[in-house]
Amino acid sequence: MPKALSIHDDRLARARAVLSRVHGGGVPGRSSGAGPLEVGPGLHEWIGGGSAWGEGGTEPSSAGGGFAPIGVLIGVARARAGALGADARVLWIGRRVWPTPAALVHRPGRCGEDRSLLERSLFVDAHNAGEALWAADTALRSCGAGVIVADGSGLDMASTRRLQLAAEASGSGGAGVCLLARPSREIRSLSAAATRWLVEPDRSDEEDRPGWAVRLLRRKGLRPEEGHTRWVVRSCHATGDVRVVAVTADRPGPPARQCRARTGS
Amino acid sequence: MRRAMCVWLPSLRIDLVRRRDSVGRGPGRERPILVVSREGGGRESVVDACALAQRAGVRPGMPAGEARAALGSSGVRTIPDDPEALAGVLLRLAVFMQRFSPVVAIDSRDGLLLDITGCARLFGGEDRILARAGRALRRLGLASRIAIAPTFACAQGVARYARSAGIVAEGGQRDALAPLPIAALGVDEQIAAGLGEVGVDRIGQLMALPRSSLPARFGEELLWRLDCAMGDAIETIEPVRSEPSPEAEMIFDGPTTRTDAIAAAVRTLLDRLAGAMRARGLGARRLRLTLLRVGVSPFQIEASFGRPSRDPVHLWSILGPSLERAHLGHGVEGVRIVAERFGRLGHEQAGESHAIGEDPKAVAELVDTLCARLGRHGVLRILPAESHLPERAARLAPAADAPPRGPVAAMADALRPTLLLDRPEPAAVVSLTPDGPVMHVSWRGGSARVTACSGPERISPVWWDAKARAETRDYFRVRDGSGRWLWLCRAVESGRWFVHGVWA
Repeated sequence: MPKALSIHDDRLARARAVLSRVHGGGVPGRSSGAGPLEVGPGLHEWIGGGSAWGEGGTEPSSAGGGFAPIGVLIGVARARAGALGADARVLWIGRRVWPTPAALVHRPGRCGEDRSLLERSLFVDAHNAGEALWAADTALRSCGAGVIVADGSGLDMASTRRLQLAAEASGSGGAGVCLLARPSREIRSLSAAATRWLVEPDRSDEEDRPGWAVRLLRRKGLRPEEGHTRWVVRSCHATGDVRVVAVTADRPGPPARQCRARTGS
Repeated sequence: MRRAMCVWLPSLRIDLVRRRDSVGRGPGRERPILVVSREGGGRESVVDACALAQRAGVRPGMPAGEARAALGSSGVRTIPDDPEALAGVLLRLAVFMQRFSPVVAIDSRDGLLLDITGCARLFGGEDRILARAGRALRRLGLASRIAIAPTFACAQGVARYARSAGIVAEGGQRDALAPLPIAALGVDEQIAAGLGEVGVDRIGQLMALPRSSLPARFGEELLWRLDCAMGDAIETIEPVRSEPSPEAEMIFDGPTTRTDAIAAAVRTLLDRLAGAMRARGLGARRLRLTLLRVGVSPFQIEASFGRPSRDPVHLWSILGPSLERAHLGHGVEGVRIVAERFGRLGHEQAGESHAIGEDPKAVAELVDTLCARLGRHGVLRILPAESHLPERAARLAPAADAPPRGPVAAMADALRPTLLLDRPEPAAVVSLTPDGPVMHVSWRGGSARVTACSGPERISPVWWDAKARAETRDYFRVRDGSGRWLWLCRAVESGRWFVHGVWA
């Protein structure tokens, strides 16, 4: 390849990497196209909210950690892995985020099943936060793992920054995706993640299938009040599919115009 | 005194076909299998046939058309004979059987010959080595008949023709061979037919004849084979030589305790080893690094790889961390690296970049790196298992092992939670009737009203596992007031309730 063209290619690749790092795969200023199942490359945090028991509520339990939002993470991993090569692996690091094998099988129609996510999944038995961090970092820097779902309990700011840098420097030009499941008690922990999501059970009584209310707590490059920040995700019992079913309104509409009566005088 | 073992593989070709077919194939009706060879003029004749075909009257040597006619319209599978491939299989089998004896030769008639003199005691006796060899071949899907005798010729005859192959004691060749047909000596068919014409069908009858009359009429070979079987003539076999393990060694001018110098030496040796393996088209599956220490025993580090590799960078990434923790004693005076296990690895293009998921080597290297720190059982894959019990519906297997061959178990077509608890946790439940619906659940110190309930799904324990003492379980899917779905189960016999899973 001529040297002049290769220089431009390098500049283009660096520019793309910067854009990807800043915007996390979404369009700046608008988030309607980047829902919870469409996260881009980088580090993303998922917090399992809702108390483990009781009446639920908008604030997660401060005493417990809650369950890792495995249902939603399966949907994100499947959406992301589908766009990668056939040999790309999905790593589940830490027993807290290991899903039931049947949940990884997709049944798109009345017969047959799609086991691609189950067959390309590897389960890493990390016994502590240090091993989980090292395993996630190693996997992100490799070309072999396309999606990493890890138990992020106890990770501090420096650890999350290390993972964010590893995702940017991943073996395939910064296309690594790391989904960190964190307990609800760490919702206010400092983090270098590109996005932070809160997942709570959906309290709608109308559906006979599990659903989750997903709220975007933070996205780099966006102000909190910009764009949509709440979605409802449901799991289909028959197919095992996880889909966004609603983008919920997150702020009141503009105030009604006030009419003033003309007074004659 | 010599002890010889003969391993006869009576249906090797058919077994190899079945092994190939077992990958990705579910249960189905068995079809007759014929292995045919094409001769001059386009004529095909049967070389081997499965038991199903043989019961229908098919025999080796029969024209293939006649064999197909005898089998009717039962969907006959015809496989062309491949002598070269069969020879390769026998060679690999011979190397495999070197775990029982270092001297293994190929018996041209679909078998192997092992000199187990002095080896049986390592396995606890001849009956144990015979049993273990049979089990090892059965695990490979190969049927076998194995005999042990004082001579190779006697072992060959007993393995192929005796009613029950087994062990022939020292000096017991005459009694073991006497009832066997002449063909058991391995002589030419014409010689056996000629003896048959004069009424000599058994080896015992042959041994009763005057020796001087045999060579003139039937040639020298008959008497020689008889003498070999009785131990009166010298037998020789041509053992299979396995490939020597690639290795590299460096001896220092003097002992050193400098870890940087030792690390540099190891990396140099890895480069040399990689070059040697590249020249032979090999990759390492297991490396053993030995540090030759002064005054104390050598320190050894072992590293395994899921896929053959000869990339010095990857090999060092696995060995290096272990080397840093090595105890150097009073100094290291030399380093040796041996590829104890190796496999074929073709040439690869260097410097080729791949996107995620397009380089199978990257996956194998990632698994090797993770296993080096977390252990072989630290990186696992899930394999569906044939069980209706939710806790047994899958099993974990090391990801570094090769994927299992054979049909893949079907997943249960039932609703299962995304998170299954390791053990069902006790819960207190209020229900309208013992069979549901559930109205209120208390679990993990909390309680909630149930807003939706469906079930029960009854799961019974396996009837053949009396020791498990498991109870029949009724499963319910319930939704609490916060919207979370739980998988409740009630032990039918005891009436106790548990939470077994959560749709997290």
